[in-house]
Parts: sequence; C-alpha cells; structure tokens
Amino acid sequence: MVAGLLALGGCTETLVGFAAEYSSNMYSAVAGPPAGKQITVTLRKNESVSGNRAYVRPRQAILKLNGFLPVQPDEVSETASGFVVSFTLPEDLVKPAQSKVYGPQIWGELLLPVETGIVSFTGLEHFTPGMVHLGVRLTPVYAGPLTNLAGVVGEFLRGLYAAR
Amino acid sequence: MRRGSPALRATRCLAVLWLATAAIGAGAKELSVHDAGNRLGRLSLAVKAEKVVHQRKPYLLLRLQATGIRYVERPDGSFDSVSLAGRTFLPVRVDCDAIRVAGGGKTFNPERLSLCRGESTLRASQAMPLFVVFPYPEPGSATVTIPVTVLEPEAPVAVSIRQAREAAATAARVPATEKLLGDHVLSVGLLVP
Repeated sequence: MVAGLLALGGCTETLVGFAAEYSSNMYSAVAGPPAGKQITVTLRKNESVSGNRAYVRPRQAILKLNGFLPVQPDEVSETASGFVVSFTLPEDLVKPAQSKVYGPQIWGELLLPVETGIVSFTGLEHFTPGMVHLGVRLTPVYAGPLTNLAGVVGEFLRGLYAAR
Repeated sequence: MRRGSPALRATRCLAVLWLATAAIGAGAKELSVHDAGNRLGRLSLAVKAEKVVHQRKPYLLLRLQATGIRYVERPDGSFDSVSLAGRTFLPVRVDCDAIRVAGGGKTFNPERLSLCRGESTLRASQAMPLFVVFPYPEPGSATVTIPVTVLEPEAPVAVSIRQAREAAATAARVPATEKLLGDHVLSVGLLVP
C-alpha cells in the first residue's frame, strides 16, 4: 500500500528545470533558479586579471554541453553591475529528463568572450581578445508529492535542530 | 544504428578525440619553422571532434581552438614548451564554410547548424573556439581538411617607452616566419566508431 502510494507519488514528479553550477578559478558566475528549458546566469561586467581589466562580452557566449550542439544566448539583459544571460537548453537534453523521474546530471562548459584592456604608455587602452572558461554541471530539478514531502520533512528536521 | 554500452561508447569517443588531436599534431610538423635557433614544432591550432545529437540525429562536431602552448625543439635535441603570447602567437584565419569531411566515399559540407559561418580569425591563444557541424560519417576512417591562412603576429601592447623600444628591436632581430605565413591546408585523420 505504502509502496504503491510512493510509486504513484514518484510518477507525478514533474521537471521544474535545471539547477546549474559554474566553476572557475578566475571568474565567478551566479546561476539563476531552475526555469523549465532555460537556464540563466548572472555575470559581472568586468574582472581584474593580472592588473588589467577584462570586459565580458556575453552576447557571443557559448554553452557547450557534452554530447550536444553548442548554443548561444537567447537573451542578454544588462544591469548596473553585470549581465543576466539566458540559454535555451537543447531539446534532446530536456525531453529525456521530462520523461524520467530523476534524470542524470549533465556536464559541459560555458565559454565567455572577454576583451582585456591593456593601457599602453601612450595612455590608450588596447583590447586583446580572450576567453573565460567555466565548468558547468546541470542537475534536473523535480517537484511533486515526493519532493514536497521531502521538503516538509527536511524543514521539520531543520526546525528541530534549530530549537535544540 | 548499432549501439554499445555507455562505457564502450565513451571509449570510442575518446579514441576519436585522441586520433584527431594526434593527427593535427603530426600534420602540422611540415609547417614548422626555425625561430631564434629553436624549431617550433606545431601550428598554434588544435582540432577536436565529438559526436553530438540534435533532434535525435547524430552529427560530427569539430572544435577549432588556438593553443596556448607550442613545443620547441632546441638545437641540442631536447624539447621544451613555450607559452604563446605576443609575437610568438601566429593568428590563424579559418574559412569555416570551406572545411570538408570525407569518409565512406562521400564528402560533406558544413551543416547550417554550425556556429561558425564564413571566415573567422583566431587572434590570440585564448580566443573563443570555432564550432563547425557535419553530418555524421559512416563508421570507418574519415579525413577532415581545413584550409587556414596564417597571419603576421600582432605586436604586444607596450606599457612603457622602454618596452616599445625593446619590441621594435626584437621584431628586427627575430627571423621572419615566412614559411609559416600564408595559405595552408591541414589534414586531420578521424576514426569514426
């Protein structure tokens, strides 16, 4: 009976989106919340690299996930401090994740074009092309009775731990 | 289409990548030049191949990338590696539409799915890679031909008057790289699993 209810709950889990993690030694990117077929990432406008200023050019960014074609941003919105860049994930990646209860993690890379400004002795800033390379890990996120139950139990346990 | 276990497929994929990288290294030897007494053994370009899926169909994805390291053969026969920056990096212009993949008696043109269309120049060792998509060739061996044009190195930006004088003096002293400059066709062998 309980196993049957659990199986039924598992079947009704639906894909909310993909949680992304980015890793790099020299540049930090902040992942947005899971949003269906899209992922968003917030980037700083520039970064100090070896005493020079590196300017990010996100419109030519490339998201390359292992086993899939590379994709470019659908939309880049500029804020005061940075850029919010959104990518639509390949359909061949999203569809299998939708049909499973728990899809596998996907690895890949985010390639960001940057232009490093080097100030010459004349006072002019010369731009040299470069690239920031970030490792990407995508984890499918599901919601449904089982996930909600796990959330409630987790919240309860956290409350118990805090009240200790 | 024949499908193996994930481990077997991963091994085959790695074999393809290894062969592609090895082949470009060997093919680039004829482009080597003598530079300040050292033999620069490789062109500043690397090629990787990967099998990808789009709308359930397999494709061959080529990734052309500038390399930040070039191997140097010293006069005494020992090898060393040098970081490619400033005048040691030779920019490479690639016409992505002119790249061809030949295999199984057929020659393939790039697909419209390719991110790189027309001419692009890799101007620095850390430049963004170029991605070109082809129909997946039949299992066996295939050959990728890449027409490239090697350009004059760009002078580094001098941040002091002393550096500007040194750069001018070095440019006059370093032997020209005429043998490398100009049009070349790189041929890369691929094992298609």
